[in-house]
Amino acid sequence: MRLLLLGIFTLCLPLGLHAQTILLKDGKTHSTREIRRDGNFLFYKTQAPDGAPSETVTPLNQIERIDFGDLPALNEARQFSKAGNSVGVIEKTAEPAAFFRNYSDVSGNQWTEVMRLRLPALAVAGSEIQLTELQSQWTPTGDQEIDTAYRLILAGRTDRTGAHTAWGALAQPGASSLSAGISWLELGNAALQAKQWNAAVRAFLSIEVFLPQQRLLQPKALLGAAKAFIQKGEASKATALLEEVKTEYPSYAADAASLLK
Amino acid sequence: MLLLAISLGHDAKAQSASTVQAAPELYNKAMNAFASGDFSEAVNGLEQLLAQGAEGPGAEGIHFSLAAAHFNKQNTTKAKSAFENYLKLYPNGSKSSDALLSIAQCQVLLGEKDRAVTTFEAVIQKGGATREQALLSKASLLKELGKQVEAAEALQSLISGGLKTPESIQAAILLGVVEAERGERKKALNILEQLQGRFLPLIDNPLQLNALAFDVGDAFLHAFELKPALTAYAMVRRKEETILLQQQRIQNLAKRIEFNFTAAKNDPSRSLEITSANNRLKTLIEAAKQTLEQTQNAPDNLFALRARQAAAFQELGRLDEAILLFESLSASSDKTGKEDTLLNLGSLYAKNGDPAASIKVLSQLLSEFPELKSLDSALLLLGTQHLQQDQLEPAAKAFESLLKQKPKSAQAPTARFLLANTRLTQARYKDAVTEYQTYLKSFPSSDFSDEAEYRIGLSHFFAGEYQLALDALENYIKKHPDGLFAPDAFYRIAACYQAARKSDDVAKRCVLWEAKYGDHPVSGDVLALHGDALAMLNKHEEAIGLYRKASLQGATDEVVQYALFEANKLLQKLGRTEDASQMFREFLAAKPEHPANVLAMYWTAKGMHKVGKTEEAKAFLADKIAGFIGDRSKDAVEQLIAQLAQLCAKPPRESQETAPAVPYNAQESLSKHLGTNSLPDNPLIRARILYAQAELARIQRKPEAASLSLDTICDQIPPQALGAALLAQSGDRLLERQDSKRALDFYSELMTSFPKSELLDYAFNGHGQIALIENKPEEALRWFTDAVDKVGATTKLRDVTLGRAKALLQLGKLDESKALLEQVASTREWRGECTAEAVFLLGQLAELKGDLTGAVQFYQRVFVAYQRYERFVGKAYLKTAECFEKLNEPTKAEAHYRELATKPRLSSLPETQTAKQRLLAKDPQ
Repeated sequence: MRLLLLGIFTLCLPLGLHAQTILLKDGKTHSTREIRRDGNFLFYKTQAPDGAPSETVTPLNQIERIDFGDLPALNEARQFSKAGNSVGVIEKTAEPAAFFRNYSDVSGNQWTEVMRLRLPALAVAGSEIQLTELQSQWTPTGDQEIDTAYRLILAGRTDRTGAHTAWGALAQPGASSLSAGISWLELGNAALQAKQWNAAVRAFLSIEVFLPQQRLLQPKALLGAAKAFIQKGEASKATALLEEVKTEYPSYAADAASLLK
Repeated sequence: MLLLAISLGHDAKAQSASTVQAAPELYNKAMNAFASGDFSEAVNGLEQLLAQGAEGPGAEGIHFSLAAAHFNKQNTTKAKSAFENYLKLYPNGSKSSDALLSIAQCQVLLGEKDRAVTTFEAVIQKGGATREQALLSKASLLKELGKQVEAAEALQSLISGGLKTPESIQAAILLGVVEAERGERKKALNILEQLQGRFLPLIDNPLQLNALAFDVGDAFLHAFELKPALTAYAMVRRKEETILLQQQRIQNLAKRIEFNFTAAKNDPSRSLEITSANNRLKTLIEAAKQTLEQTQNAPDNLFALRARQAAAFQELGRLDEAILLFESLSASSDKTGKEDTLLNLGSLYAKNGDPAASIKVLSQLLSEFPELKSLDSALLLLGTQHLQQDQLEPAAKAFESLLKQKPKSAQAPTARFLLANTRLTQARYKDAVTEYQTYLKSFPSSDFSDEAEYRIGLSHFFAGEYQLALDALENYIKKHPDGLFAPDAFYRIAACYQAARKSDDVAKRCVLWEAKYGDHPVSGDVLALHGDALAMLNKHEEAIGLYRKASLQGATDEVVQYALFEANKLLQKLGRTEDASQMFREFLAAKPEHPANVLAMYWTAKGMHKVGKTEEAKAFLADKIAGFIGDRSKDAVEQLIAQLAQLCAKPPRESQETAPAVPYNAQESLSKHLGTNSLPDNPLIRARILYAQAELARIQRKPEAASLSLDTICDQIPPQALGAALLAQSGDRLLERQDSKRALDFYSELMTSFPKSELLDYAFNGHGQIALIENKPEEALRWFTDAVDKVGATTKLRDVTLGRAKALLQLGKLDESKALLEQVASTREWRGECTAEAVFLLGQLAELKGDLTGAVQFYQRVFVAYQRYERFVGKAYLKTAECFEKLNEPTKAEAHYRELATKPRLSSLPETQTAKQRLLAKDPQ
């Protein structure tokens, strides 16, 4: 029942209200500000030569590509991502995720791009409900890195033993995939729990070193490494990391400050 | 080539119908030649056409094609002239902008760069399709001419409308490079960040973007702006990623061609426009394929990237991150840059305070790259790291290797100096002096020459060559009266006088020293020396005062301990036990964490006991024990427990005199003082209480009870709960019980959890003994050697020396073994069972050498001089008899068998049974 409601909800999403260009297979193009999908048909509003608005219906198999253009919500999510703010990214990508999932079989969709932002955010700060929702709405992106990361996040919830094996296999020196980053995060946390401070430092710092572009993973990694350094009695190293967290990732400033005390 | 191929793609051919009605064949031939890349043939044909007077609309195409053919033939002068001619004939022709752009390109090729700038500007002013390309070319040229500001302006205008076309993206990349070059690093980084994400598939050549990321990162790195440098480096894409990107781009371009074909089929009126577009796309695909090939053939950028990132982290003081980066390279199977990687790793581990890791990686480096270019740096670093680990001989070998292989290296002086220092630390004083002298001779004006002069004196001093030391140190003082080592040299000179027993001189010099240098770190040593001198002069009161001052002022534990116990000695000699006790109490208050505290406590308690305050002494010890009993790291607790057990063993004097109603119970007294009932119940405290009971039983001569308590510790307390002293004792007890496997657990725990314990020699000796039992003499020898070299075996020196001798004997190294056995046999302090064993082994050794008479003498010494040690007595009898048999002296052999067989004390020995059997065999009656 819940899935059905979700389907209905996505059909009515207001996200369709932005400039889009539809390229048909016959070479014709149409500009529109509003599209919606119903089954294998695309409905989009255009202007008739006399200026009157009209709705056109085209079978999806006649569409070459849709240029969806820049979505303001995604731009905001990118800004949150840059600041390492996973909660912000989760919030801003919720609607684009639901929208693009509906078009994931149409060329030009930004499903992969959305998941590239949303998955690491969910790995860091996803709630149980959000992860369940991800599982229910998941469609493979075709991007190996993203799809593997999804499977890894899922395994972390459903099969911890299997996930642990996968983390060990993925977290290899120099690896720079999102899955490796998630693995290091998990291994770092496990090492902290087991009071294996050196292993924790190595795992967390690997994220900083090999995945600098994964900004969403950084704050947790730096905080984790700082905790391990504190336990090792290397306070100055911990301080350097915590100062970086305070400066670069304001949404984690309070966590850093509490460790600095 | 690119420009002109596009031009001819459709326009020139489209005009062919009306070009030259008179010579269609010639025209077609020329154009086919052009299309097939035969530009000489094309030039000939087109020139012939013009010579025949080609006219009409098609003539414009011929003039343009001719110029293009010259250009493609790389005949730039003629091309330029032909384009100029075209413009003259057709100033408003359809190709006028292209022609102008081509002229500008010819001017660039001909070195007329300033003119080219003007011509590009003219194209820009004309506007149209070529504007963007002209802007881009002009900007590139301005950049080349060093006009970075103007180049930036041109590029800025090109991208002001957004990054929509390949030219605008190319311009953005170039602008990034220009901004980085002119120090506008932040702007460059901003551009780099803009080009990430969705623009990536539009970039013609991803290698250029990588180059930009490197340039921007480097610019920040050189300016020590390390965070932005790391941000820029984070945008460098790995080779495989770049290849994937380029492959995707080619696929997308091919898809667009396909899409265009479908569109042309549905709308034939657009076919000319679409053909032209597809030609452009094909050219782009070709270019992309070339870039792909270039990328595939390019060396991997991994090392370059990681090295830069590591440099930035290192500058930030983040060594752990730099280490991770280089570790990732060393794990790679790619040999590129591995040499530098390992050297960098070695250096980083060293800086991060991990000498063991540094040694490991540097050893790998030297083994994999014996001819490495930084051999001297690697060896110097290796040597210093061995020094950090107190691995003196390996350190010396590294320095010697450097000096041998790279004698002219800039590192040679330091290596020589450190080699000399190593020899001094190894107590190889003569070698040290030789090395310092070589250093001074080879590098007279080097950094450490004054220190080398001082250290020569020091080496002589430690070697006991006081006259030589005096000469060298006085020479040093003369040359460097205010030198860094002058206070120490001055002190050593006084000590030389002390060695010559010139105590008056020593006292005078010490007074002078104290006046000149006051509270210099060596003042404790000087005070102690002054005390020694006054003690020799029988000025005991003054000496005691100086020692007590030295014990509080000494900079090293040794000086403090020495001074404290010298003062104690004098006080005891003067019969002032209570003063001594008071002195130790003051010391404990002043230095609560000093390692000499346990001894201070011992003497305090002893002093109290001696003056009859035994109960007070017990209370004092109990109080100290209570403070430490739950702390695993305080291994001195056991010493205090042993002393308390000793005090509790005897009844108090008052009860001895007054014959109490209830007899004294030592065990109860011990329990009471330890507070056994009120102590927390944990394995460590249980073990320490058991140890106290074992000690009491031992003192009361109840060996079985003592063993029982120790066995309970071994069997019921996990090694991880015990302190160093009990781990050592339990390991030895288990070894005695022949439970090697469990003994190893205790020894290993001792080594792991107490790597700096003074009792480590128990673990090394234990491991060696077990290796001997398991018939692994080489391994045993290593353990015994390390016991001396690495932990300076003190308590276990006797066992370790005997163990080494036995290992060498098993290895057939008879002479080396003999020297050690003789040492054991002749050391007075070690006299006991080990002496009997050493003499017995000397007998075996002589036997192995074929000296049966000599062997008999050693064996006889065993059963004559060491009768208490029955284990060896039985064996010695049997061996003597066997030797006599071999010497063909059966009567003597029989006499020895008989003696063994008839001694009641030895009746239970297996050797006795053997002797009886042999006697029976000789005489069955």
